[in-house]
Amino acid sequence: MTIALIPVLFVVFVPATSEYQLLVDTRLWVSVQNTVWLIVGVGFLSSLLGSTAAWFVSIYEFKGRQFLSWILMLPLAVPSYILAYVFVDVLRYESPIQEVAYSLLGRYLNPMSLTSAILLFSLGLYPYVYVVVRSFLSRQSATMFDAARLFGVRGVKLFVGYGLPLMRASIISSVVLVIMEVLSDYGLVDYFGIVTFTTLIFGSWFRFRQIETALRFSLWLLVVVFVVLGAERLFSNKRRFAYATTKVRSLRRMRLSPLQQTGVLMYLGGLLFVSFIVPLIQLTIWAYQTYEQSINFNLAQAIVSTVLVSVMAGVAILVLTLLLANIGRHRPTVLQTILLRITLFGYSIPGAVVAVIMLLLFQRIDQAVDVVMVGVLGFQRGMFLTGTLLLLLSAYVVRFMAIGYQSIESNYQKIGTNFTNASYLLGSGKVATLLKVDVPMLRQGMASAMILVVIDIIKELPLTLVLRPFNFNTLATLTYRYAAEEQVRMGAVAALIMIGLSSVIIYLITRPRKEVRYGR
Amino acid sequence: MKRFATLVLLAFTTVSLVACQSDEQVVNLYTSRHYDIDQQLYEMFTEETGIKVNIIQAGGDVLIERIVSEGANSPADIFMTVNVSLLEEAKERGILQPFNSPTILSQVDPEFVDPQRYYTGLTMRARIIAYHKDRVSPSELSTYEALAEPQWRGRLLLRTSSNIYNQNMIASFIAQNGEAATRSMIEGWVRNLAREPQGNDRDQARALNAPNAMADVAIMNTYYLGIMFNSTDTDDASVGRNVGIFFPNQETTGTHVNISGAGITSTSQNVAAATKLLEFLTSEQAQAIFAGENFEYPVNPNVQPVDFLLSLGEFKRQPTNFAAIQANKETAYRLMLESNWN
Repeated sequence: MTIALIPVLFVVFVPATSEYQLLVDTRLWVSVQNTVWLIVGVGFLSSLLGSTAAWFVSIYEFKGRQFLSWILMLPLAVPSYILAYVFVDVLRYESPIQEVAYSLLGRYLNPMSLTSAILLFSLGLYPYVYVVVRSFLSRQSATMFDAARLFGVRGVKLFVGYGLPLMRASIISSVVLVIMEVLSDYGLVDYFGIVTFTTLIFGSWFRFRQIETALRFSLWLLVVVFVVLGAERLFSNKRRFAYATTKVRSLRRMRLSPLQQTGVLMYLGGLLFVSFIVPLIQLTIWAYQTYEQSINFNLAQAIVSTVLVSVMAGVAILVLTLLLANIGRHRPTVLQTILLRITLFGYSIPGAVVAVIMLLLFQRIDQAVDVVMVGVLGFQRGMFLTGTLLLLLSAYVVRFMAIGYQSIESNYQKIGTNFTNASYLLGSGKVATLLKVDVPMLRQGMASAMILVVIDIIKELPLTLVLRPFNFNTLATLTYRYAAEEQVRMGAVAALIMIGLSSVIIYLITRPRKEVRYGR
Repeated sequence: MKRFATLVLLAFTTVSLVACQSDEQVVNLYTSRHYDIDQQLYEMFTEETGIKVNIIQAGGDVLIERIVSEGANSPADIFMTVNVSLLEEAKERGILQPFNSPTILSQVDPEFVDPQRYYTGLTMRARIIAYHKDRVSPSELSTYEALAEPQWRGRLLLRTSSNIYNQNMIASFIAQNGEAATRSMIEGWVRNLAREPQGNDRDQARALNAPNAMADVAIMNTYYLGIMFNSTDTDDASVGRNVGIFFPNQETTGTHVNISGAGITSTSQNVAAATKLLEFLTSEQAQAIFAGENFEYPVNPNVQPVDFLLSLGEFKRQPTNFAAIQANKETAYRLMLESNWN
């Protein structure tokens, strides 16, 4: 994977052009400002929404908890650009909300402002935090909370005093994903006219036709990512909590008074309403208006393709991250640590840039294969890999490795190395230990990694668009086809199916199994 | 593991060999046109000729990168896109070859064909001034350049400078009026903005149509308005009642136009079939549908535009000089950045 990123690093040695300088002079400062606001705003808001939601469904017992704890993941299935189109339409100037706003403020609310971008990203991406924190909390020992309860700590104090310190590592590792997704976004920020690093990257590439300058700005973006990752290290807990016993009692959920239940339900319901129900209703209306034109053979094919590629790439990523994270936790060398970090970059630079890097890489491989073919078989086959699904799948792996890695790694930290070392001591090999000791304990973490990866691949656009084989469509490309022509409502059926499919996948992975309770 | 690897290799070899031996006539199309109507036309073409059309749709910029990186092995036969500067770019980077078809030449207005025949236009679009009928009288409007004057302070809507249609338009002005005049026009536009540039073309029309006045004039493409005027969405349809279309520069240099178009790739293995497809798409039969369905102007002069466009009347076009747009597009973006056009 790292090989794919080497071309990016080489641009440092190419002299900067005057266009680069111009973009730096006219755009860099504003893009830094906007980027910082997006990171801080979305980072804060999505961790707040995600962690409180996870906290409520894990710690408390209330009516509808099981259902809510599942459905709160679903906003993950709504791509941010769809969310943007929906809210721009909901906040159209003729709408009652705008009418009220105008009579109060004397101007319209701007649905395409920076604030609005922060809100939309947070609403669409809080499930990253939610999924990871929830899976983390589900493996918490009851003992910790028993102590708190004994001292009569509850409510906000329990959350701030006990919950936050406990969840800190998992919040931070998941919010890093949120930030990287925001950093690599081009669709929403370009639509809203918000200048960020991706504007600089695509400005140099598409408007000035200088791919080197684009890669140079990608490097700038990587510097930002380094800062974010540095901050992650800084803020994460240095101390490692790990079990030394398998007798972990899972926590008993606390009961809530009817009034408290109403409050919690209103909060979670409100969050769900804005982030999921509103887009769903809007898409359903659009789908109703257009379904006659959009239900066809293409759509059926797209459903099959979407399932196939997302599951195939998802499994590949899961296996690879298990191996990588396994290296990462046993006292990695400095070189290994750096290489592990670099795998995360694929997720933080815009998909189209990853696509071009992958094209260049595969073209080299193809050329090498060609040379061998000519030498051995005496004929030239031409493109061996480029234009096949293998290219697309590898690109997904490069891009989404980070998601798998982040969620598996934070779980590995929780497990610690005690059991693994014990297994080694007892003479088991590395593979056997991984399969028999680590994987069973990582099941929850793997499930959440799989959800995040698969849903992200289902939504993926830039890589799929450029790298796909002939006549290949996913639900995301079908949706986008219309959005690109400013006819987003025509894509509503595909978007709805995409959301439905993601929901089914989330359900299959997290479907409530008989919970194993120890010590009862 | 080894067995698995062998299997995969075998599978690939089989697939590639099968792909090699197939006798079926095909055209492989890389396109950044996303319209449903295109699909229907390709099906019509297949029915008529028996030639199958394989498609990859993506942005024009990245499709060019894909063809370039695929090099001699590229399976692409036709590169089709919605913007002339990308066609010029493809030509410049050597991925197109001149077509050899008297039919195309006879079917398409020579203004919309590359002089060296590297590409042909398929549809034409005009970038016009849209105005709110209650607040602006057409008599106040004259030229693009006049929108830089102080009377439009706080009344103008533009898309961002990253929009390729804007970049092409500005490039054409540089070729026509020179860099200094274009710069002062852009600076005037930016001073006159009603809000920071944001949204797509339709969002400009929606803002024009806001119940409480936000802005009075916008620069946008005709076909988006055509789609909105004929929309089932009542708010969008009301744009049709309140927003007028003005063709600027009629007394002077003419209204800026752009084309969507296509060319045959230099590595094409199916030149004959590719040529046939281009001939088909520029034919009278196809042009009426191809352009009409999306409210664009046909490039075949024998085909009438749709009623919506007819109702706007004839207009004087800026003389097409696509090479000049290509030559000036970087300068255009430079000027836009320097003038602080967001």
